[in-house]
Amino acid sequence: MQSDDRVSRTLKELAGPISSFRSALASAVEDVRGILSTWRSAQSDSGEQRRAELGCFAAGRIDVERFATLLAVEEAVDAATVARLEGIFDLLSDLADQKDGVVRVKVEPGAVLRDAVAAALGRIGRAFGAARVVGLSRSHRYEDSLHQRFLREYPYALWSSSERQIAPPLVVEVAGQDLRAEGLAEFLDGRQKIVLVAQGKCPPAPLARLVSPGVFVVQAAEPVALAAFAAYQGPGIAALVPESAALFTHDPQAGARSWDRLKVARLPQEDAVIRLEGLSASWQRECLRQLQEIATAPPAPAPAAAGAASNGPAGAQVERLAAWLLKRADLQGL
Amino acid sequence: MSTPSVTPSESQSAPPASGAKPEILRRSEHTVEIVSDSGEGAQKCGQIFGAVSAKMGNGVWTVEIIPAEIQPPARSPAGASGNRIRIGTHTVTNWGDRANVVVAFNEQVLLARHRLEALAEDAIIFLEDMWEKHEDEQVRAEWQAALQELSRARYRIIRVPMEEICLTVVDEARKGKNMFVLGLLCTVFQRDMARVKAQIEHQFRTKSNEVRERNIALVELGVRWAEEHLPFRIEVPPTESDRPMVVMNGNEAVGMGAMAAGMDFMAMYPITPATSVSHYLAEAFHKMGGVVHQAEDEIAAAGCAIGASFAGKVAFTVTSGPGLALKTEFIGLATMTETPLVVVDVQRGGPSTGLPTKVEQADLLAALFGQPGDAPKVIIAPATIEECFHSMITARRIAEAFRCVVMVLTDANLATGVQPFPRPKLDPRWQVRQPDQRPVPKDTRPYEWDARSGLSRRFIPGQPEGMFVATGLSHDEASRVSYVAATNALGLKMRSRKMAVLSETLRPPEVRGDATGDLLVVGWGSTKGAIEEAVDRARAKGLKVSSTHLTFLAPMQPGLKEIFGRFRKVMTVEINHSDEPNDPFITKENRRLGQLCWLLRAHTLVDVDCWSRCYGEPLRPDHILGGIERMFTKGEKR
Amino acid sequence: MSGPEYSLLDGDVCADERHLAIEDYSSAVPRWCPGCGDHSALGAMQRLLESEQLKREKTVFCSGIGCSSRFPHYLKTYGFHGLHGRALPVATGIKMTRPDLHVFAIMGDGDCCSIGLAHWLHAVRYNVDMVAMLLDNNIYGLTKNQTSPTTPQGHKSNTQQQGSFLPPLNPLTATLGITNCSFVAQTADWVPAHLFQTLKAAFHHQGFAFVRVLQRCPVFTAGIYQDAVRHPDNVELLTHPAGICDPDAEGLYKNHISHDPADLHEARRLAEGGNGKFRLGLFFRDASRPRYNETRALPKYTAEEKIEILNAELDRYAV
Repeated sequence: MQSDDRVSRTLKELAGPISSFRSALASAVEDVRGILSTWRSAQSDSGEQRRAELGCFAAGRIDVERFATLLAVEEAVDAATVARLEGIFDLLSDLADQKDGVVRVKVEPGAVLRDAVAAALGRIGRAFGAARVVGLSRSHRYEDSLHQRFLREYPYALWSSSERQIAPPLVVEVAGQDLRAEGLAEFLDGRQKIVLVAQGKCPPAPLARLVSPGVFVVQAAEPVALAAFAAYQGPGIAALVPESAALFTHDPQAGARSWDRLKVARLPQEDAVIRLEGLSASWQRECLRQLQEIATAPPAPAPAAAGAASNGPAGAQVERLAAWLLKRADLQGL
Repeated sequence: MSTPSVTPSESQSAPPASGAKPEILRRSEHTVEIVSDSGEGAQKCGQIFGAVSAKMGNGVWTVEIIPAEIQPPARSPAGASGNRIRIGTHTVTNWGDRANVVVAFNEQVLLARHRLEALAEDAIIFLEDMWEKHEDEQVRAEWQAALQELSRARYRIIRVPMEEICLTVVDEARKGKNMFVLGLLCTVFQRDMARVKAQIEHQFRTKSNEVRERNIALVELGVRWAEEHLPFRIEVPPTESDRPMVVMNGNEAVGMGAMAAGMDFMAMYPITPATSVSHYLAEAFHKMGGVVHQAEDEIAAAGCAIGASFAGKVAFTVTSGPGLALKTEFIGLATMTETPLVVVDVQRGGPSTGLPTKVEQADLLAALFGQPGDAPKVIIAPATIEECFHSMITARRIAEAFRCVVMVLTDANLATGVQPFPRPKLDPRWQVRQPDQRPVPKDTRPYEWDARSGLSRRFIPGQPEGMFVATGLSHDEASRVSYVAATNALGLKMRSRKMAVLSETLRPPEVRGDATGDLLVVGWGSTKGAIEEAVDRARAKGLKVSSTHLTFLAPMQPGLKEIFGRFRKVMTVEINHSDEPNDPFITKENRRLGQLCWLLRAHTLVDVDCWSRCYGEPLRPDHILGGIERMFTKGEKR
Repeated sequence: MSGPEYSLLDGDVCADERHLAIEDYSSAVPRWCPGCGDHSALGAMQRLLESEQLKREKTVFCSGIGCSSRFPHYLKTYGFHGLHGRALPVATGIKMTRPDLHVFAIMGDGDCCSIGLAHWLHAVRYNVDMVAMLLDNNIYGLTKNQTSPTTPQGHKSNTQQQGSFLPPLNPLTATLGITNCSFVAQTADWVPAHLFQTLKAAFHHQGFAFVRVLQRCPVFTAGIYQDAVRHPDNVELLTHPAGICDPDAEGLYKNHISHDPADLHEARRLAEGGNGKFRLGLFFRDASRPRYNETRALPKYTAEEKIEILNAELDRYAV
């Protein structure tokens, strides 16, 4: 069975979003280092810093010591806060040191895919949680009872939309028979990307039920097919599947109608379904039928029907009136 | 050579000096002027001469002689254009008194300098003599009349057929004389010719090889002519130093200082003599991410800068008198909203359009009191070109720390003067930091004035929970508009308090010379070098004079009253108008005084007197000395 | 050179966020007169902020002086309530240095068309990305009833008691006549849905979006827009698929002019008016015009990088 090779090639395809997350992480490490050193030196040599800031013109003209005491805007920091920040520095450094490992997940055979992904995002999320705790600490809003847990796990549900925009893609190795992707829908937000590397045989269209207008969905045989997926500025999910499964691409930018967006490269026969505990053959067939349905344009409307739709000015007016009345009635919220 | 029809003093038509070793005239300092019609390149010649002298280790001060018009009529006294270069063995701090050596491209521009008493009695003058035999009868007549007038002085006029010689190399002598003159001067002053050539390569680096070679050929012509005709050389020995130096004018120094301070937004509107700051920045600023925004008018320039500062920068704007007047309302707004802003005012002659290209120190009171209502602000006046650079760093920091307007007053003398100074050792800590974008602390307000210091933390758009509306209306600590009298009074008090706090951190100015005496001369801005030279001369004559120079004009440095009390008399020296005490109708009661003088009297209650001269040129040490001596001779009348 | 890098600690990454309701964008209670058209403009603006879920800390409202200029005080965003006529230079300075902020400039007719006219003209030419809203009530209200540049000829005020001497300035034709103009629309306070849709289109326009709001002053110019309010026949609506679509207004006003907002020549003709009717809608839009804030955008450098660059500068001046 092919495994590590596809994972490393997938990481290469996703290098852009991964490195932008990692550089944000590295900057955060440096920021925290800077804050710590400012806090530590606040006690010792703020005079030297202030003197330097004022430049040479101040020499002999400004009493820098006095100037420094006046501008002690950074209030004194208590030991607990410094200790907390040191912990955060270690946490962020540790995440940064994991390099690409931070985005890799291996799902134990038999484990629940959704839970494994949730846990991995929760672990990555600690970087966001830590950043929040830094902000809260600096603005004196931190409270142990509310915020301490952010450093242990910071589940996806708590992520802000900005965080969801910069979250790194996740590369998940999973046994084909455990590939139950429906539960992952809740993580497809912001710019979150998930790539499932299926090992061994798997259902023919495991991602079919995740196709929705704004989500990039791919089933492919090779990582090289993921370039457009990686570049998409929205959420996406991909599965690298064996020969027997369907191959398709749902690209939200490809058009307004579902059949413009969904391109099916290979649709296996209904006998491609596999024997799986808890996933019946008819359920698997339903996924294939759904793919076919979405990808197919409806037949062109009969000429008579077309005439009726644009039934002269009177018809248009009626429609407009109806729309207006509906709006007035404010039925949208119902 | 024609037979001189005037006096013997101008008849010296350079006898051949070949063979005999030239006489060496050793001087500790010398002042040279090169004057021509506009566009004949005298300034380029002066710049190269000054730069080469600086590189050789001489002290140098270069000042441009600028006509007010772009294309003044040729051969007119009003059109005199060029450079004065004063070189010395030691540091030169001002443009000196009278020129010792003059090169004039025609007799009319020479006449202008003569009439302004800019030439030493024994000045050596190199004069283009093509005009004597000019085809136009009127030109010939003007020549005769001018030489007649000049003959009353004891100048040593050496006639040089510049045009004739240059035409052996170039078709149009008008474009080449300056390089010929450069060769002549560099021979007289024994300049290092390798450096001269290197400097020409540098100055004309954007021009073709052909241009550079032609210029060097012209320089060599000048050298040869001087070697063949001049029986003397002048030696101003340089001081060896391995301290790295840079040489630039004050406007370039302001621009570079702003860059060193990490400022990256400047909004301006073209105005003489401030514009060259923007010329320089337009060339260099973008390299480090800085934007020079040429706004639609002076008002908008101030507004854009304030917008940029409100959004987290410390922005600056550069202007001169008329522009400062237009920016008045916005400067008041920056004060009221406590938005940091640096305003550089390159002072020129006023009021109104005044003398756009000439120096004056007459914006001090407008800078301080220009805003209707009480608008306390910081005013700094750099005294040297080096200080033009360094003051920008301090100005930026104070503006940010005190959330206030800092005005940097330079003037046309600093703006166009060129002087070498020690190369600044750049420090990253000089630079403004990126806007603070962390959430503002719980329960803090945008004008939470510290009750003692009036200082408050600045909120910047982008900071969560910091949302507030900056307003020019009277407002409370939360920036809510308030017409409650007590709230307005508190705001006034707090904004004023900041100035007191800053003044508490200032040190008293140093006194040059004895700590006590008969007279203390007080100056500010670009006059420092000339004042100190005059005071040194007065002390050499036995007068008990000392001087002090103020760099903080608002708030004032502490201790002035105490210092003044140690002298029998105190007098300011300034380049702005004050009434002559003995003029008609002028009494002690109605006499209008120099601007610093007014301020010092109000500030210290000491009966400070003033001496000022407002002729659109920098002060000369000999003139200041005259002012000092008058204080000793006019007795106790006043 | 550093690229567009950010840190996880940047305010907008780690900020708390939740869905913001209209009340979250509201600040002080407006103190405009009852019946003043500014209330409607404020309501539409709050609706815009809510519907776009703009971050409050990333939004700045600049204003000048006048009744309309109190606008920022009633919004829970950053604001700069500056000088009479000078909202635009401040807004320009903000947007040029902080492209991440959403910038709005709110002006009255005295602000925009009289004392701040130079800035208006040049702001159109700069085409800096922002929404500029002119609340035009045809009068100076805050200072109590003086003629403004847009006061109809003959209208009496405290300064021109025999009636305004001059024909009024037309802000639409003026704006449409300026080089690099990129967005001009007109709407009115009494059609809030149209006002909202107009602001929405302006907000989504990339460039300087100029919106003139016909705004009633119940105290000094109560009668001026009365004809248009009472008799929908006096209004002509510019409609087009690329224009501003508001079914409410389309239902209310029967006079439709189909106008393609890409057509500048026709926009100028329509802006001239001339038939005594008020024309509402999008006159012109061209998102391809160069934007000064982008023309002048530069990469950022670290302190050390700046020192290196400046040292190279100093080398040029070394002796």
